[in-house]
Amino acid sequence: MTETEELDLESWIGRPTGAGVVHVERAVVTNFAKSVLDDRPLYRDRDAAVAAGFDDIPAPPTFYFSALQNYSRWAEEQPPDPTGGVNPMAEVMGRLIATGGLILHGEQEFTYHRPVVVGDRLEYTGVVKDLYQKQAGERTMTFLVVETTYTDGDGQPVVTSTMNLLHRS
Amino acid sequence: MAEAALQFDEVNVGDTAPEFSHTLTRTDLVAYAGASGDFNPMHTDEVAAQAAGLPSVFGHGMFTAGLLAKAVTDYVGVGNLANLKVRFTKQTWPDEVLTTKVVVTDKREEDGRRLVDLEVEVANGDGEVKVAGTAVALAD
Repeated sequence: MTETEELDLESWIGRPTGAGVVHVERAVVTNFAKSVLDDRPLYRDRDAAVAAGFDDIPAPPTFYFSALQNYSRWAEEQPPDPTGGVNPMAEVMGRLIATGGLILHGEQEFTYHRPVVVGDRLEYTGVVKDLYQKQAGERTMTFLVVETTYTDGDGQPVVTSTMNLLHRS
Repeated sequence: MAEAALQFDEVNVGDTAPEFSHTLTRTDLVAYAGASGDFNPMHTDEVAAQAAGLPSVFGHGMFTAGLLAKAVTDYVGVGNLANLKVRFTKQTWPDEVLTTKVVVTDKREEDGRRLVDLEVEVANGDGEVKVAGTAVALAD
């Protein structure tokens, strides 16, 4: 049996990767901006942010990938896990890495529908958009595309984050 | 809610944003790990990285993307970014000088919005591209 058959690529497409609620918190935002060496005052000084036209300190463009997910989910507000305990990211990449090789972050895209500022409460859902394989010489490259959509209290999209994770055998 | 945007009538294809350069340090990677919550030891633990056969720790791709996003928003104004899409092409290593490049490739009107297309990248001192992609900014 080939790796492809074992994985049944199509069966993973469309499956949920998670859902949750996040709060955009000031210290997390300010520390993140500092860590990517963005020293603009509007990321640490609310008066500077208001003077620039924002309601509060804005989130930097790449904030949504990790900081928001890792630090801003209050446990008591999280919805039930929609994956049924089988997270496609962990499952697919886990199976592949068990055979050796390397997992890499291949691509990342953000679409911004409106600015996000400190105090915003956002809901998100993640879904497998694609799972495909390519041969590169002797190596099999497996690409997993996960789209995470953040929405506001009215259900309007705020930010869409698309990650392309790849396993190289 | 946004800073002052690019002036659509004054932007031209081929315009470039000011470059941002930075020499990557291990402290940058530890600080980014803490701020992002990504504690993969390949980025923060020299002992573990060498045990895995690497010459040293290497940078988070998203750290480099963060430097690039800073250069882009310094140019287009915070709050005016509509899209950012990057590919991670090479790993970054401590002591490399990382420099951003942001170039205007098109300007267009779509659905009543004035948009500026940008080609964006980060390369080291030898011109090896680490992160490359595109951005779309809203203009006035």
